[in-house]
Amino acid sequence: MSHPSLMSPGVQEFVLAFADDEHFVGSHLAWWIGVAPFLEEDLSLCSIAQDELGHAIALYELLTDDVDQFALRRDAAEYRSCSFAEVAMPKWEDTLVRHWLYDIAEDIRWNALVDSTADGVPAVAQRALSEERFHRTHSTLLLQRSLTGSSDAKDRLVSAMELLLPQSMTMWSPVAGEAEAVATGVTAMTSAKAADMYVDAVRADLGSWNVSLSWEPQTAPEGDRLDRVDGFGEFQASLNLVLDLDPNAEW
Amino acid sequence: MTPSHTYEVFLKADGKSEFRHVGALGAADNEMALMLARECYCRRGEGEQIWVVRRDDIAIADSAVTEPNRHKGHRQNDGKLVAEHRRQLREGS
Repeated sequence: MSHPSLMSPGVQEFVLAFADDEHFVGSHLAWWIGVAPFLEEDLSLCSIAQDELGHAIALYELLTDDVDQFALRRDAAEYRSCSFAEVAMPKWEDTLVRHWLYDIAEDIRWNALVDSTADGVPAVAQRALSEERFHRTHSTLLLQRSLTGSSDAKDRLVSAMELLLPQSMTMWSPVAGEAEAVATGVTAMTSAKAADMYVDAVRADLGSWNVSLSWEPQTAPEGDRLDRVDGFGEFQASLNLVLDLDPNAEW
Repeated sequence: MTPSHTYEVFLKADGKSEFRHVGALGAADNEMALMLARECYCRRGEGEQIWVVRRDDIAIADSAVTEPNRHKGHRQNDGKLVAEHRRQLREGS
């Protein structure tokens, strides 16, 4: 990392994990411009994607002076994103379910950083939370309406939930630096505690929609953030497509 | 999803400015329409307040109603007619 950050390596890794999650979820959401089910959703989802990318940039700026290089061109092993954020979801129902689940988790994660002892983090958290409540509104309204549509729509969404809920627990896979981040007050809670809050919030939404499905939450897998999902190389290459046209260009 | 309705979207920029029509969108209900209006028409802070109105709820008058009033120049109150009349009197024409 090129930034003379005052954060210790462990705390940097903790912040990096969130930044990388934001980066990849934002990038995957932006893919839907022009191909979402209706025009209003093209714009809405990409507006939200821009917010998520903005959050990633704000966190990366706490870690480095060269955000583009850092965000886009690291070696795969240097990323700390979870598999739930990395995986491509070309089915609309999967994207909608990830949007819902990720924003529930984001709300918990940002709230845990509001009183962070790390320089710059509380301001980023406050700003992100002011936007996140609209992301939550967007995902829950859209999901709620979609669930009350045709039986086919509901079946597809419930199937997507059953598929993605277990994988979503990778959001709570801790990095090695988490213990230090908790001990020094960088974050207000462990990922295990946050995971409990997440499960409760998800169950509350499911209950309010009268959706019953089989889901027994498992403990977040250790080491998920050290591995990249299949297809990560192609995805990262797609993010670098324009940069690679002329790596020396000044933008 | 439930059937879509067409909504007209209005934004009020700030202060004493009036609400202005900015476009339309499709949404299932009022709540969705407001949320989509925020993301589609207000993502760069173009408005301070948003109105959405279902197009079906708008009462419409066609051009037959307004046409006669387009030919009542005497109702123009910008003074041009009076000024022209006085100019002609001055010049004795």
